[in-house]
Amino acid sequence: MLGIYVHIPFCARKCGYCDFHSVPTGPAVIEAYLQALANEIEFWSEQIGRTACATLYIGGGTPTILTTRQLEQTLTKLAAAFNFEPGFEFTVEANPGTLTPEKAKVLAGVGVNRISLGAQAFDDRLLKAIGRIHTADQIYTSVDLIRDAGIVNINLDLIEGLPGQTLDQWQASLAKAVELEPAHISCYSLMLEENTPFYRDYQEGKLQLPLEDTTAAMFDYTQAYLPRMGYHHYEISNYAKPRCEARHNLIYWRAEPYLGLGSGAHGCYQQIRYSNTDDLELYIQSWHTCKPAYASWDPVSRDQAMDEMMFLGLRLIDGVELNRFYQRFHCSVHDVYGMEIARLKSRGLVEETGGHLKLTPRGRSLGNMVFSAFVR
Amino acid sequence: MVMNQKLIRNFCIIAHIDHGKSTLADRLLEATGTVTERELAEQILDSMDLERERGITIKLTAVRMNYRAADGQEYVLNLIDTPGHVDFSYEVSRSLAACEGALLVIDATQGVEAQTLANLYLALEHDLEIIPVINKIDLPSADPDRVKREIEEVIGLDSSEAILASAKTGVGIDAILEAIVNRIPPPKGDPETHLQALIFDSHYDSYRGAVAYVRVFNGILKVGDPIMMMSSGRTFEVSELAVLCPLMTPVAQLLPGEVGCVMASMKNVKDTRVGDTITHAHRPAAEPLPGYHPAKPMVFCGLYPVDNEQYVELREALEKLQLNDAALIFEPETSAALGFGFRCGFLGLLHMEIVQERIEREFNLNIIATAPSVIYRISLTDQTEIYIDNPAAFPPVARIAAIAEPYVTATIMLPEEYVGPVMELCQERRGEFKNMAYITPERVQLEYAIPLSEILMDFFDQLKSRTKGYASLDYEFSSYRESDLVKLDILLNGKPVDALSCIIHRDKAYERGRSLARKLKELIPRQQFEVPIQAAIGNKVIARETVKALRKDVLAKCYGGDITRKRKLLEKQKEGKKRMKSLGAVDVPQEAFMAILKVD
Repeated sequence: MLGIYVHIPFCARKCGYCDFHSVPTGPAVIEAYLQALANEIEFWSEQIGRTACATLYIGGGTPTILTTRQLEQTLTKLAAAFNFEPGFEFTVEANPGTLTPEKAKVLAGVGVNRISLGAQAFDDRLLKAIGRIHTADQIYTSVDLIRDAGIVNINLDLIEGLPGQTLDQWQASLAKAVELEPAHISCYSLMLEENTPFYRDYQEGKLQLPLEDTTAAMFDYTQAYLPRMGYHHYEISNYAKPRCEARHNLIYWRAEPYLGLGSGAHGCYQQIRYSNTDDLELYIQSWHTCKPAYASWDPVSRDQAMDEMMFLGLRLIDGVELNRFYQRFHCSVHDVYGMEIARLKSRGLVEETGGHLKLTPRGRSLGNMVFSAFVR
Repeated sequence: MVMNQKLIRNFCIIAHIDHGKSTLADRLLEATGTVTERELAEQILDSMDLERERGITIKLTAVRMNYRAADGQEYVLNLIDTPGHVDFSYEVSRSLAACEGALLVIDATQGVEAQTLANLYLALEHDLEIIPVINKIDLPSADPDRVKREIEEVIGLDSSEAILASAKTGVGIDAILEAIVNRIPPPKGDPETHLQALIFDSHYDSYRGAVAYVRVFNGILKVGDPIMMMSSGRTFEVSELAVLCPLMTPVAQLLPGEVGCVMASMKNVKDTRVGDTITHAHRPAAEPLPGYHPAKPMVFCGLYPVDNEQYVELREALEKLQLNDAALIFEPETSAALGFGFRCGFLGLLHMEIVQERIEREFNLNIIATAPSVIYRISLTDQTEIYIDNPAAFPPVARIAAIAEPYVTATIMLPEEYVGPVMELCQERRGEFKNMAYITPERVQLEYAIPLSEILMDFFDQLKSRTKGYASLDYEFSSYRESDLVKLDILLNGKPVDALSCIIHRDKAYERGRSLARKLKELIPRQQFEVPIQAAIGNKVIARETVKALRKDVLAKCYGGDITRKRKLLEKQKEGKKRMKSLGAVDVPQEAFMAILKVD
């Protein structure tokens, strides 16, 4: 089963922590981009033919920065170009402040059934400090208008460990998110990425981030609090009401194939890992003449595929299903990683139960120690 | 060519760092037409990069100049270069022994410095004729009258004989050349008697092997002669003789008083020990020239490659340096913390720094050096004595009756206003006050007995910083003295880290233990488990810090399906772990050792 990711690399303004591919730009470039994207959609449509597709995810950037007309045209085209199975998950990322009742209705009209809302925090001071264009109030408004449009499956993205954020503030954000009763809550830790204003400020000592002990406490609190409120913890950073897990993201973690369309998008299809150029101009030029413009195109070796299945799968709370590994590679996990697994077990970081290898609660906090052990 | 001995002058230049020795040498070479101005684009005598950068001469050479003096005669002037640093005082003494006279160069803006004085005393011991030269008189801040007073009062020479000069502008150069001819006596020596030639320097040449720089005192040294090194009895056959003007110019023989170099298929500079006497193998002299003793390392440290795989390359680098440096010794050593490396011995701190820098620069190797150590003399309870230069060899306390450490006599010259801070520094370093003398109303000479180990610990930098760079230091070994010394261990997770152990005075162990533990705490990344850091003397813990357990380390970001990026981050983490040394189940970054070892 295949997932499809489509990247919309535009934002009203770039946030201080973000290093995703996104640029502020004018309407003409957006129009040209969507033209190019339409050509790429057609290309892949021909490539994969009637292959069954399980999910469609429109991410960014800020997809909802597109006009109502652009959204309608592009999404309609996408939904028609591939053989999606009935009831497929169709997600659009939206940022509060860019969503209007009209847009929400159009999204619902073309079949979008899940909105991932970049709420990030419920504290206006924090939101401003990290460069978001929205206020806490706008999160409520957005949730209302999404629901009014008939889309019930809503995810709220939250970031823990923001500059100056205290444990109390984090707890308050979580409580407010839960009050809104979304189907899904993602809690990502703030990571300093090179080439972001935050990174530079941090290097220059101008940015105060919470101490490790604080972010660890936030993580621990979240793991205890959200399940109590009815959200089960199914991936290190993700919590969902029953049967509301993000199917598209599960594709990544289960190392299943997906296409990436749009500039800067990543895909993995038929044992090839590729990424599209994130040079917007180059992308537009190439696809205007219907030619792909890859930034990378690498066959995945068997060893790499094994590693990935492990370090991605271990992010899931249920871990890696050992039988699936065997079916895919015709050898047991222990044949390949026996030593590593024994070492990690002895340090109390992983455990094996019910045919799954998974992180212990301690291992969840120290996931990188575990994941890196599976990189060869 | 039969050389008239009366027309030879052998001299050297004694000067403090930066007082203009090299520039003066260049000027003399130019004035005598030995080299042209264009060839002098680089200062000739200091050939190594490092020497130029540090403004000091490490290896010495000799240059021969022809000079037509005012009396109409053509003289041969041999300028024998001397290293300007205290670590090489033995080499200096051998160079001086090859001369009959010395130019004493003093900076007109600075005055007499400690090292100048030390070398001057050496020159006087060798009965050299001293010609004081007051240099840099062109500078606005020059104060030749003050320097003249210093020459009278400190050195006890007639200041009316001092030559005012500026090597930069060329003022006084002719006067200097005439003074060399008129005031320095010609060499003595009998060509008819047994050969005695003093080796005052040597270097390794990849084509010729070891080349010895010699001054012939008696007899005649000829190409084809079988020769013998009097210290070792080893014999060689002279394949080539040359003088340096400044390039090697072959000659058939060297007569008494002459200076030149000897090549005799010697494979290693160990065969051409500085201070040794060359004689004829079949008709040896009865006695060697006086003053020879083999170079004796005073300072030791471990050198380790940062990348363990470069061990062999490090050994090769040391071997190559040793070809040219008979004073450098090394032997393999293993450390749990640092892996495979070498225990190395040096003449002193500067020698050590130079070797380290040359390894890094010329051989492009990254190395870690452990804290420098002196040689301790330990009397054991069974009435025996051992000498150790490595904390790892420290015997169990119960077996130790007494420990003695080398003391030096340190002579410090400084402006009067800094006497307070410098005396404080010497006190802190366990110095024992010996003497204080006013050279002039403004300048003071201090003398202290101080443990050598204290000089190794950043003393020179401290001295400079407390006197705004105006103090100069000279020291020489005086004797072993008993001290209350202990071995300080640093333990990680209860296990001692060999690379961080040191032998230290009991009174200082506490502070050092605390500061090492504190620094390590900053440098060791959090681990899965809490890591105790302890400083201990024997079984007694004197300081403790704790690295708290790592609580959170997990990639919590989706990266929109960019798995390659995730993998790269994890690879980086794994790579980072590989570069760590695992000590007592604690992962310690190599950088931590480097940072710790760099401090102090």
